[in-house]
Amino acid sequence: MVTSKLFADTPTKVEEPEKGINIYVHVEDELGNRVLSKKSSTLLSNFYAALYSHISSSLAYYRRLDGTIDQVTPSSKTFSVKGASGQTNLGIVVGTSTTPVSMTDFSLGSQIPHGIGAGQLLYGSTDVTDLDFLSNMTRFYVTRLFTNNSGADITVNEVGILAHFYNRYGFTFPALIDRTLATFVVPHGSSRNVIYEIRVVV
Amino acid sequence: MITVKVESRNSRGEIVGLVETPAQSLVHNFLRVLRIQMNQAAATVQTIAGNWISPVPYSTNYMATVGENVDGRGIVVGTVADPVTIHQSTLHGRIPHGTVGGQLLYKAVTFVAPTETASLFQFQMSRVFMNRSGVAATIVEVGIYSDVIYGTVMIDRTVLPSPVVVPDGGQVTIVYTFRGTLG
Repeated sequence: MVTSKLFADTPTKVEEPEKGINIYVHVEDELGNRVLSKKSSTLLSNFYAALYSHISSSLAYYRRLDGTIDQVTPSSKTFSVKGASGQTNLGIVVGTSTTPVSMTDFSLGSQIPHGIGAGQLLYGSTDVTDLDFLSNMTRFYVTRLFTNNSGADITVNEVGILAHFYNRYGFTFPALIDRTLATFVVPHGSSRNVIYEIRVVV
Repeated sequence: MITVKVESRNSRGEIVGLVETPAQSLVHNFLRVLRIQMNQAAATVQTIAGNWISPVPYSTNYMATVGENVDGRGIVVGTVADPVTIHQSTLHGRIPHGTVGGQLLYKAVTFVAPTETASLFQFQMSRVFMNRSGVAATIVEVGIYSDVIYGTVMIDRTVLPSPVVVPDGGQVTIVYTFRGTLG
């Protein structure tokens, strides 16, 4: 059932989904109007490393946010994206770099900090919606609101997801699992809701 | 992208059947489990027995490792060709472990560690099934049964584009390849 614009079908034409897992990035203004929709080229190596770790119940190499090579182990914490308001090392993140995406990316090219100074955005909390079913697919959304009180418009060129990974020594680190080039402007005094749509299509 | 390769050999080790196809594919439980982990909260999944349970985020969620002789987890095979839908939670004609007609011997699930380049990441899981039943067996569907805390769920079901026959005395190897590529 369509309950909000969030669950509406994408109004702008984006690439057709393939069978399997598909990732889309949507951006909405304060009124819920979708201003951008784009299909992510792929989840990054870190995502597949954590998936391998869980399916095979073993260690897998991944890259921490600072580029350090580490080993992820299956854990209740793995894949968590529940970043709190102001938390820039978990959940959806945004940046300004236009460097092409690589499977081995471990951070955004240039992440925008949290704040109200020049070149900063206020990070809301990262939230996860319920599942939504259509005929041949199911999906959920990961969302985060970014508010610009910096005094000037800010152009975003890249978005990503930082998830928690639990390493072999029992410590948790953030790891980038998606990076997608997506350009949109957050005007001063405005907000943009960045929405990751995670689909499985049969 | 997930692909499934099915290779059947006779008792002399000769390949007698080979199918490679895109998985058809992940079903609802795959996304349910991912959401449980991402959201850090319990939510419902449907077990292979058809029950609805509410696992919490946990280290064994998705686990598909299993030793030989166990037909209730890991890669599984079956005989029914009805189309895959997003809501399915079990193979529709799973072949049991055993040595009588209509059964196959389930070996352990094995993994090939991930390989990576700047544009590709992939890993594989595979399982060998031996036919010592006295008659040929025909595989039409394959799937992955994974653990979650409190139960077992199917995360993939794929109907093969053409059946693969496993002669008596032969064996079949199922290989799932999970592959992320920059598109």
